[in-house]
This record gives sequence, structure tokens and C-alpha cells, in this order.
Amino acid sequence: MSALALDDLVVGYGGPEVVRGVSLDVPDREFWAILGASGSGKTTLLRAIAGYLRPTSGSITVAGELVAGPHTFVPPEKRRIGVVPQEGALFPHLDVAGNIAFGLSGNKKTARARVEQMLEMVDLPGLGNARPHELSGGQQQRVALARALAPEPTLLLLDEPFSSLDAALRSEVRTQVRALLREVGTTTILVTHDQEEALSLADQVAVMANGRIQQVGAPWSIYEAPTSLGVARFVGDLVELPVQTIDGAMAQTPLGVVPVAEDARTEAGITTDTRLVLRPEQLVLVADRQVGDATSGERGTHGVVQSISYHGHDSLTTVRLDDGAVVAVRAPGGSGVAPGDAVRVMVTGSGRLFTDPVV
Amino acid sequence: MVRTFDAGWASIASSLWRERTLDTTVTSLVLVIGVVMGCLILAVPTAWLLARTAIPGRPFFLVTAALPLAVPSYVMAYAWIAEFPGMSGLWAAILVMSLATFPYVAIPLTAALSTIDAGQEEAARSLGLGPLATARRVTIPMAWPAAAAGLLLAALYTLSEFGTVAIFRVDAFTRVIYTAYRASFDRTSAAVLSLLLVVLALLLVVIEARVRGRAQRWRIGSGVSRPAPRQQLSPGATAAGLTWLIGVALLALGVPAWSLTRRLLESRQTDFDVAEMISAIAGSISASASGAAIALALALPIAILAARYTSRLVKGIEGAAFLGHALPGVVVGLSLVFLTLAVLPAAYQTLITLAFAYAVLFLPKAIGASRSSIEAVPPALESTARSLGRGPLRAWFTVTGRLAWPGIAAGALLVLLTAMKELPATLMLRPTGFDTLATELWTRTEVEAFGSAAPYALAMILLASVPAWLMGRWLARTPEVGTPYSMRNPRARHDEGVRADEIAYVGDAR
Repeated sequence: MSALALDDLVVGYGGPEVVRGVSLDVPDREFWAILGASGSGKTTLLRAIAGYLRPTSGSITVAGELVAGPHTFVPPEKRRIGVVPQEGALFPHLDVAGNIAFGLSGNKKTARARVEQMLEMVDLPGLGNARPHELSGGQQQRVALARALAPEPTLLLLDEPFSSLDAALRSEVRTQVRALLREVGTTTILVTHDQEEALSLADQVAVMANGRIQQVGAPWSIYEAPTSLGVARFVGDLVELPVQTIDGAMAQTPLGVVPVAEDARTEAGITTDTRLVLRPEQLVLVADRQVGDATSGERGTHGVVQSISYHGHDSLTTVRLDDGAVVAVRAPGGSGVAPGDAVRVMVTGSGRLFTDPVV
Repeated sequence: MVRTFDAGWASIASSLWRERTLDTTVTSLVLVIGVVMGCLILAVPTAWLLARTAIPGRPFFLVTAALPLAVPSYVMAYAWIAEFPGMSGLWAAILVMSLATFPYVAIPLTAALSTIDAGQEEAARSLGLGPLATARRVTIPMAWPAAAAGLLLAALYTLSEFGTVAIFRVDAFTRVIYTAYRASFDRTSAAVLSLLLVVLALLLVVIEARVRGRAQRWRIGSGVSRPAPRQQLSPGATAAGLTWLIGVALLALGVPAWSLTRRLLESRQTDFDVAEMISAIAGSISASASGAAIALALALPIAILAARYTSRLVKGIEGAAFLGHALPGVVVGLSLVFLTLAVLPAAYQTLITLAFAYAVLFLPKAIGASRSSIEAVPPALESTARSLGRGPLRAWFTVTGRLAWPGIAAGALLVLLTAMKELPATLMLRPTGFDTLATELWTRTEVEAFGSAAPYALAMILLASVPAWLMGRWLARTPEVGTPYSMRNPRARHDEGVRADEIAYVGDAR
């Protein structure tokens, strides 16, 4: 049984629809991410699942129970869906224990025990009497998580929970939260605009744009085997090359002949819009002074380094090829070249062909 | 207002065109224009001295410029006439009303002048404008909306003021309406005049809203603005400035204080009835507390809707409630007299009708305070409470209501204290034999028993200074210490300076 099933869900605020026909099936105990730019409809979708918004049409089923459909609307307090809002939204008038106990019913003693257990779980033991404003941003996030998990929801929704944290804290809190949720096993949906976050945390990623789901798949397949140029561009840097001719599995491009991935070949032939795309880390840079080098021979395409942006763990170098095309090359660490240097660019692996218009 | 039309068009037309109607209109307009001029004359130099010069004693004079708001204008009028029994007529009324209302202009103008970014004036100077041209083309256009909104409030206040014009026997609308009602039960004429008064007041409200709407567009850019440096004055100019500030403070505060103290000392020798005082206080509290309760019950749903939704219907409801700003107490009193007599004679001159009148009059205050405090609670808190299993009502009361209650309570308190100062509607609607502080002061002033009125005047001032004190704290407020940044509402405006309409929540003593 799936923990969450959406069937042709349409949601709007009275004007044009914001979510335009979304169907999803999230299996029990999985961690999913809905990845989309701002305005893609992902937050509206989350609000509809939580019960804050009534869908225009379609249905939402949580753990086998219909919660929104043509004649059904279960209010949020009856859905058993936990929500961790942006920036935590802790109740400022309650202490940490009061916040965590907010969704608990039943006698005080069990509630107190549950609060202790939750504090232990989010690694904040003894902080029950602290006020929300005394906590750091990361601690606030963890309390918000404990608050959402305390009533044992069937489904947990995370609404960009890490975006208000500064960069260093963000990856730390992310890792903690992910480990904790893996342990608890609650089915979780993370809504985010940060592709790195979605790819690194989720079991499955659903990419959303213009109110529709564009692609659903494991993180690696979203990155390495995008099914549209829009998804390919959204989830990471891209090298886009025009295709001059194609011969079965081989495409003629400004970078020479590049193999096309088996599942991305086209029967339809090519047009002027056809693009072969690669990720920058599939390109390799060789300084031209090694031209005589027997191992590299005459392979590769000549070009001149335009600019380098250095990130420490890797660097992105833009190269203007002799025929005018500009490509980006990612290399671990520095690339050992300087702007103006003559270089050669080589391709590893295979590329993917797209003729579709960008959505 | 139905009352007006009952009388038939012919009769309406005849009372509308009577010479006395015209006289009344002219008198009221002259009064309003006179007070507006008076406010400008008093407020502009005061605001400039306080905002732009390094005048000694600045903190003290900031307080004296705001303090007249704590003296109900008819108490001020009483104090003046008790000291100078010969005072009467239009000029006396203009003088006292100007002294009582000039803080409406002085406070926002001081705030505007001190928050205008120095960078903008410097830019004007660097573009080749002299100091006067800079004032004309930069400073005045930027400070004007603040002053204009304050002026319109002062005008509205003057138009609906009853006690002062009655004390100085000025035949402005409110006094003529009250006399017509009281003396001859001349209902048609009173109703027609009321209608005319409401139209004038509505006109002022519309103008005020427009000016204020435009005023909000004056803030551009998000950078921290740097206030203009305060100018060092020459010894001569300092002396002149000090003379001015002291003089204004003496007129607005010194005379009432002196007169009141003198009368108070006198009254100890004459008759002062403790029992009467206590029953007046009890009357004030019971009537105003009921009024505040009704106002709160009416205001909360409107405030909740207005804070969370912006549909046209909600705006309409909120706008209709704000018409209370334009309804002079004398008009509300009169219409409730007619209404109860026509529809529910049993309710005529009962406490509940009086309380209802207070609620109608002061609803805008209750809505304003509740609305802004509800707006300051992030909606995410309430929806999170829903997701944690609380139904809509419980979620509201345990989260939004719980967090907003200080503001909501302040609004109710403001209604309570303002209602205690209300005079004309109280006079018309109070049950026979029922007295409040305001009516006791009024009856004693009317028979020129100035000595025995003094304790009541003092009690009124004490009551009235509570909201003024609250406002002082509010002006000094900083964003709530310890609130995590994420809890603050981006819509909350911490930096807009003081707006005249916010001061109106406090000073209104109609």
C-alpha cells in the first residue's frame, strides 16, 4: 500500500491553476523530494496534501484513506500528516517541551515521556524548558521536526526546512535529519528548490515545473538520464552542443564524434534544434604543450581558456573552441591552466540527444 | 437618518435652507479652518525645533508637545473658562481647540522630519539647490503627507467636538443639534443638521484616507536611512526657540494645570461629595466597560478577516466600520435616540443603548489594534497547529489568539478609556439619574460651578493620560527583544515613524 497517492490533482487559488494534474505514488517508508524552481507549484502541492488548501479536482489518498476527492475533504487536523514549515515556525509563547507536546493528546505523564523521547531522538536532551528564541536556527529546525513527529504521523512533509540555515549549518542539519528519518521510517516528502539537497537526501526525486511533474526517478537517473532538456538544465550545469550529423550511435559535434547513450537515441533524425548534452565533468582538459605527448596523440578539440571559477574541491573552466562554441569543463581541484592558454578538450562517456522544446 | 426622510422633503428643504443652517455651516467651517491654521502655526515651528535643532531640553519638550493629547479638549476649555470667565465665542474655541489638537500634527511631523534621509537633502544641495529651495522641493514634499493626515484628523476632531463649542457657546453643528434636540425636541431640524454634519465629516475622512494612502508611497529603498544632523543654533536663536517651546507648553499645559490646581484647592473648602464621585466613577466604568465588550465582540471577526484576507468584501466591511471615525458622538447619540424610540422604546435611555453607542463610535480603534496584532502572527503557526490535530477554533485560540491578545486587549482598553471621556452621546443616551465623570463635569461647568467641577476634571485627565502613557511606551518600542527573526512578520512595519492615524487611537476624546 502506498503511503501517499495523488491522482490527477489540480489545485489553484481561484485564478489560473497552480498545480495542473499531478499524479504520484509514494511507497511506504520512502523519502521523496519534490524539486522545483520557485513558482513551479511545489509549495501549493504541499499545502494541498497537508489539507491547508482544497484541491479543484483530483484526489489525495493517505495510507489508503481518501482525504480529498470530489465529495471528500478531510481537514488538516484529521489527516495525521506532520508538517515542518519553512523556518520551523515554533510557537514563540511555548517552551520547547510545550511545542513538542502541542500535538499530543492523552494524559500528561505519557505526553511528558514522549517529549523526553523526542528530545533524545533529535539530540537535544534537557532542552525542554528552553524558549524557542534561545535556540540556534539548527536547533529550532530539530525541535520543529520533533514536534511534527511526536504524534506519529503517517506522512511527514518538509517545506524547504533547511533554506533559512546558513551554508555550513545546512549540510550538518540535513545529514542529521536524514539519518533520523531513516531510523524512524516515516514516509517523508521534502519540498525544495535546491537540487543538491534533493539529489543527496531523497530515495526518489520528482522534478516539478509549471504545475506538472516532469520526471520521477532515483537521484542518479534525474541527473544522468534526464528525459527533457528542461530537467537536464534544472538539476545541474550542462554542456549543450549542436549536432551536425548523426550516424547511428555516433553524433558529430564541435567536440568531435561523441557516442549517444543507448536510451537517448533518436529515430526521428536531427534538426537544427537538436542538442547533444553532456555534464561538465564528462569533459577532460589537456594543456596544449603536451601535444607531442605520445599518450594523448592528436585526440581532442583545440580551444582557448576563457575563464576559470575555482571552488577548491573542483573548478569550472570555460573554453572557447576553435569553431566558436563555448563549453564548460569541471575538473577536480584546479585545472592547472590560465585564461588565454591553448588547450584541448576530450570527451568521456556518452551524451544525450534532445530535440524537444524546453519546458 | 431615516428620521430625516420621515419628515418629508418639503420640511427637509425648508430646514436645510433656513438661514440658521447656513449660519451653522459657516460657523463650523470657520472653526475648522481656524483650528487647522492654529495647528499649523503651533506645530510647524515646534516640530522643526525638535527634529532639526540641538535645542536644549529636547526630551522634555518632546513630552510637552505630546501631552496636550492627555487633556480632553472640553476639560481644557473648562480650565480656560474657569480662569478667564469672560472667554466665549469662536476665537476662544479656535484657541483652545488648536492647543488641544496641535499634537496630532506636531508628533507625526517631528517624526517625519527626523526620519527623512539626510542623504536626500544632501543630494539636493549637491545638485545646486540652496537651503530654502531644498526645503521647498525636498523636505516639505516629503514631510507634507504626515502633516496633512494630522491636520485632517484635527479638522475631523474639531467638527465633531461638542464640549468645547458648548462651553464657549459657539453655534457650530454639534451644539446646535444638541440644543435643538434638548430644548424643543425639534427632531427634523436636528436630523437634517446631523446629516449635513456627517456629510462634511465623511468628506474629511475621504480626503484623509487619500492623503494617507499617498503618504505610504514615500518610502523607497531598503537601505538604512541616516537622519539629518541637528543644527546648532546661535545663542539668540536658541533663546527665541526656547521662548517659543516654553510659551506653547504654558498655553497648552500650564494654564490648565494652574487653573485646575487653583479650583481644586477651592473645591476642598466648598462641597465635594465623595459618594457622588464614586458613583460617577462606577457609572463611567460600567458604561465604558460594556461598550468595550460590545466593540471587541464586533471588532474581532472583522479584524481576523481583515488581517488574513484581502477580498473586496472584507475591505468593504472594514471600511464601513471605519466610518465610525466620521460619526460625531452627537449624531450617533441622536440616531440611537430616534432608533430606540421608534423600534424598541424599552431600550430608550438604557445602559445597553449607551454601551452600543460607544461600540459604534470607537469600533475603529478596536479593529485597528486587533488587526495589527493578528497580522503580526505568522499564518504558518496556525496552519502548523492544524496539522498537529487542532481544529480551526482551537488552533486560533491556542496560537493566534494567544499571541495576539496583548494587542487585542490594548484595543479594548483604548475603547474603554476613550468611552469614559465621551460626552454628547452620553448626555443623550444615559439612563435618567445615571452619571459619569464626563456628565458630572459637564453639568457643573454648565452652571459655572467651576470649583466643584475641578475634581472631576482631574479624574478625567488621569483617565486620559493612561492611553497617552501607553502610546509613549509604544513610541519607544523596539522590535520585541528575543523574538527570533523568523517569527517577525515581514508585513509588520517597524520603521515607518509615527502616523497621525495611529495617534488618533489615543487622543480621541469626542
